[in-house]
Amino acid sequence: MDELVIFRLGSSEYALAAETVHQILAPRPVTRLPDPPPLVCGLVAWRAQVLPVIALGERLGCADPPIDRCTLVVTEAQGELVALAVDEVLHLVESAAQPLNLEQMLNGR
Amino acid sequence: MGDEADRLARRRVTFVQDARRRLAALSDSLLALERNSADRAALDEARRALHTLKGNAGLVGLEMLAATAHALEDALADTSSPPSPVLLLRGLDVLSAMVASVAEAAGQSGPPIPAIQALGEAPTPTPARPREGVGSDSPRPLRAQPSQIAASVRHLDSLLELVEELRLAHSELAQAPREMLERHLARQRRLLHELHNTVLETRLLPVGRAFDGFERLVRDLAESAGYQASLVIEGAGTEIDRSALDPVRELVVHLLRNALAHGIEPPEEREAAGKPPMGTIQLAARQAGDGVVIEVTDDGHGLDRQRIATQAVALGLCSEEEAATMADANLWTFLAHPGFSTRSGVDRVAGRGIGLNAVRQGVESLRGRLEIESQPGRSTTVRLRLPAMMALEDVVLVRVGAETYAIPEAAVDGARPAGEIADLPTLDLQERLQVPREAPSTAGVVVACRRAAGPVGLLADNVARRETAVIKPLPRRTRRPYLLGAIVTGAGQVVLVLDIEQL
Repeated sequence: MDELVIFRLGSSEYALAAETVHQILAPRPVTRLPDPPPLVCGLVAWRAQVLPVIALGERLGCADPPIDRCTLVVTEAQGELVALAVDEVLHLVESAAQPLNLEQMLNGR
Repeated sequence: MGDEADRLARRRVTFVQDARRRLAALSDSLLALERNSADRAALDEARRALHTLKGNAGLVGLEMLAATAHALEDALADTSSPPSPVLLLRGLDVLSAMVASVAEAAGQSGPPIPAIQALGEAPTPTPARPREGVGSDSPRPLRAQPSQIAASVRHLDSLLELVEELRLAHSELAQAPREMLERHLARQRRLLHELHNTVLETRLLPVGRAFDGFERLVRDLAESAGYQASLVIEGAGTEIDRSALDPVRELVVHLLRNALAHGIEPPEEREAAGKPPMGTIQLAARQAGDGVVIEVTDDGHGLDRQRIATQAVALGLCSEEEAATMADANLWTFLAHPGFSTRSGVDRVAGRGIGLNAVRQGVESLRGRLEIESQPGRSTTVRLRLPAMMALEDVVLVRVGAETYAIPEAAVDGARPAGEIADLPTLDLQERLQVPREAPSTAGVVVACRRAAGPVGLLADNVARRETAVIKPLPRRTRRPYLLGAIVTGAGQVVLVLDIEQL
């Protein structure tokens, strides 16, 4: 049984393993990139770092949340910290369910 | 129980940090002993390093490592039949590999672990020389012990974060009514600036730490290729940001391999050219301006202008006329072109090639530049010019539509209303950066900038203000050649910093 952070994206709920979640950030201005890689919709500052904001709408088949008004979940993928754009964070549960695999998402699998 | 496992894991991390220093000292002293088996100070140092290593390994339950260190210690203690240097160096390799695997298990992988390069073929062990009179005071420079602490990067990073939060709080305070606060603010600003700089300075380390084991690497590589070469290191005390140490080590290894594979000639060829059979590679580091220069020079056959020009023309990198009149320094840069290095056979005769493209990319990701110099028949120098890594930089913020971008102030000559400057090629930032434009552009100002290719005017809406900040690297996948990085403003907003040279 792992602790999971449950969040909403569009009309569906998804989960991340709680141990990979560093912080949940209130909506804030996101800096646009002129030429972003797939799934990256901008940059935010967190602590002393610049993190990519990841929007999974396209991958999960729903609309991306409005980028300047979405909650950001600071988590890890591909050895780097990223801020995942979500509509809202719902709760923390203990569950044996399979959390979202960000590595695979970003690798396009 | 879990607590105890945790404690052991933490102690092993500490052990690894210490063990790396001991192994570096051991490597140095074994090399000194190899040169002069009567070097008493080196012998003592080697024993001390092994003894400490043995004790510490035992304390964290690494019995095999302790036993290996013990065996080596015994071998050194036997004055009746001193062991061969080759065997001792082999022993060092085994210890290094063991520490590396402990590091990996403790999540502490990475250099600097000295001398773990595989020896192509086993060198025949040289017979041990009889120990000459003990106590001959061979001069051995004392290992410098600068006042340093082994602070963890994580710790320093959180200090830096704290300071940056303070800076943020300061800027919020600055929005409050003025009159009373002015003086307090000025004082606070000065203190913050000092604190920030002090924290940044704690990140500096001597670049020599990245060069551990290089003397042996060069010797071994040369030996396995049937050459003779020695390495001379200068300026090992030059300070560099600790985050640059690992990448610099990798880059320099590339350059050393290059110098050996393509620079230094075989002994007979050298003698025919009137050079000593033993080639020399010089690895020098020094402060230059507010950055650091690291260069690798070999006294081999230099670069062949004709062959490089022919190849550049064949690859369509320049025309024949251009190649004929081009300055050497510009022609050499083609060697770092990706297409250039993949042509097999060319690098060998032309003098260089494989790896230089990778080195150029590595230097650029550190926001530095690669330079190449050569004297035909005599030498080749590859120079890495690295910026002062984490230093504060002054930037000018410009508004473009609803967005803000930063330009390093060093590149800016001034700003004037658009229309007043006629003789300057201009670049419209809105267009170049694809800034969505809700309202029609005012494009009111031209920021005149210097770049290597000549001056350029950047068209923006207006100049917002100056800011002093640390330029931070962008997340890996979002890096682009025309972006130096990003700064975080006092208000916590990320602002992209443009690289004028690459725009």
